[in-house]
Amino acid sequence: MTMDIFKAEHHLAGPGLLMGVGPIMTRIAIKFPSIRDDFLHMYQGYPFFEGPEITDYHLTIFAKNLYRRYLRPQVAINTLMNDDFVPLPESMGLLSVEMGMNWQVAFGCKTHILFHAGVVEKNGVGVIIPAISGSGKSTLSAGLSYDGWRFFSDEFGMLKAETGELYPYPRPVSLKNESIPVMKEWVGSDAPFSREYEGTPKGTICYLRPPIACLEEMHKPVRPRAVIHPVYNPNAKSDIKPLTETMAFFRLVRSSANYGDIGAPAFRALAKIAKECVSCEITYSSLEEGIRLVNKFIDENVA
Amino acid sequence: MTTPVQTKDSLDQKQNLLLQILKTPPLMTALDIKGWNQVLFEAHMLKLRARLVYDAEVNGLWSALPDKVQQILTNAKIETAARQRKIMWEMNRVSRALNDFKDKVILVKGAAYLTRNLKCAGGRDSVDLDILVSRKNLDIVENHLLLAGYVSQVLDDYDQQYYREWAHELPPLVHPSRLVEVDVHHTILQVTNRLSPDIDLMINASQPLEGHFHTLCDEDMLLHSIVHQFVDGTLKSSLRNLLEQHDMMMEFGVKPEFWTKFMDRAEALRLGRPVFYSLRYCAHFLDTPIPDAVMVRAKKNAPGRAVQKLMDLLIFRTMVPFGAANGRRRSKLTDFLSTNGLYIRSHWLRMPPMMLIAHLSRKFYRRFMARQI
Repeated sequence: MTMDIFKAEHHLAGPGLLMGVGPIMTRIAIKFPSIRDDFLHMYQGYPFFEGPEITDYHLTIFAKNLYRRYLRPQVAINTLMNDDFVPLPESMGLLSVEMGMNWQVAFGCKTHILFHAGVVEKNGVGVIIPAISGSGKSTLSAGLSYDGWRFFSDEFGMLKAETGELYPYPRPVSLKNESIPVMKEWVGSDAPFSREYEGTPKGTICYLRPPIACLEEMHKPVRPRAVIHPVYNPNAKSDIKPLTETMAFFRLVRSSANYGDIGAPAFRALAKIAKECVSCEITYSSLEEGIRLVNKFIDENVA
Repeated sequence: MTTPVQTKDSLDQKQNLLLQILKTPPLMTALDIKGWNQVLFEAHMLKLRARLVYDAEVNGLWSALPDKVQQILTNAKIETAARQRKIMWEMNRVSRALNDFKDKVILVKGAAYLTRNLKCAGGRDSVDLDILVSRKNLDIVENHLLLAGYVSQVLDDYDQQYYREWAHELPPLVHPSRLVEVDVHHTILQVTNRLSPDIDLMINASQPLEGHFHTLCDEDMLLHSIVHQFVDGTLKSSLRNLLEQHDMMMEFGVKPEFWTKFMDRAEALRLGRPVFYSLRYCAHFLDTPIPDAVMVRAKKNAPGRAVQKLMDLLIFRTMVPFGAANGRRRSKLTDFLSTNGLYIRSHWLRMPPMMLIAHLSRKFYRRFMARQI
């Protein structure tokens, strides 16, 4: 499973490198050497396979022609899944890999109920952190995972309807703008971070590799015990507001990407979470406050 | 006597794994990892993954498939089931919108297969809801749908005019809270298509379902699928259409009078040529058991040798259009020419030459201008 970096780069440049993250096996081919370097730095410690393995998705990062490869380099993405991405400049290369993989999971995955949510675990307590972009869920999940929690995902909560368990999908965390220096300080080392990609449609983006221990346990599911909806507001007073079962249910439905496709089993699974988990909304003004509120809520409400 | 299919490609295609599995589902249990990767990839590109699930379940093979394959195919199964559910619900909504409309509303394609519970609906990915009404009722039906909140998807004046004067359907309608496209047809081929059949014959022969809707009679349903593929379609990635025809031939063909009625119908509607192609390629790719007498009768409408050779070449290249066969890499150039050759063919049949030139120049000009912006 551990693969020599030269061999991995050789696979990436050629027919594609097989990488397994959680339940998903992807074959990734990257035609730009600079993006291959970024990729291999970011995905250090992830399981690469010599193959053959049965593959979920094929992702190709390429140049449309020689002009776009050498003269004015531009990166195109092929996910084989009705994508229509605007090509990015080569300097933002890793973004295209991440966007492509996100797209494939967001539109392809129906075996798990997908939440647009971060997920973390400690002492067998799974916590779902659902939120829209910009509410700080990535920063909060990453902060927790560098503070004693096991990281599942900052973007895709994956719940199996049949077992009611959450599955890890620990891809790198995508940090934006002000949260980048905050996380760098929190982690205390530059090693697990990517370069900072400036001038993207979402501002500056930087990726953070989850702690290695989370990668080693990427096949170990957990039962959800709490749902915490974060609201980041730099000027607000810290607050924990419990949610009723009904509100908890509807907010879960709203955060799920494939609830309607899965249908009845998803309805039952979400109703079960709303009934059995404790749910709240937290308002916080700094990463430290957010983490303190999560720990406090769990300590006081989950036995 | 027409020559049997004999090109270098045709042999490769015969050995294509996906085709073999579609014909003989139990072969699924013998696939190795490489085989599965190839089959899953091609089935994905040809929108046939859910069909593999259906075949596996009907043949009791599902639990014998590797876990990873079950996982990957389950995605397709759930997605297709969701789409079919959406189509059924949209039918319910259209039925409600047309409550006061008393003339025939005929479901065609996916919606018809689903309501009739035909084999070809199994694992079929339907995206749009297609209905057929008599041309004289077109405005009335459109008004009912607009009143019920449907919105026309085509705003451009030229496109609106194109649809209304020459197309076989209204500009697509969509209800903003459900986003399923409803296509209201008044015939099965472009008005200007030289093969356009007498649609009144089809409408008169349609059969009532429970509730509001009708479907075409069996013979016409198969003819419609054939016309859609071999006259109007671009034929790209169209193995699933051929499979649909194969399924109908198998399912309807058990009735003793079916084949005679079907061939009579094809000749009456002057669709002998596309029917010949369908029978020829179903037999070739899917081993469809077509009675000898039917084949002999169909061959009366076969094209000349040269045209047939060309059509064979184009079809074999596009039917299973991916990857290397027998370790040989296929030429991207010939694949490109085949696909585009068939695209041009479908347009050639669709309208008279001068009109085609005017239409394509306009399209080209618009695309060109869009690029400049």
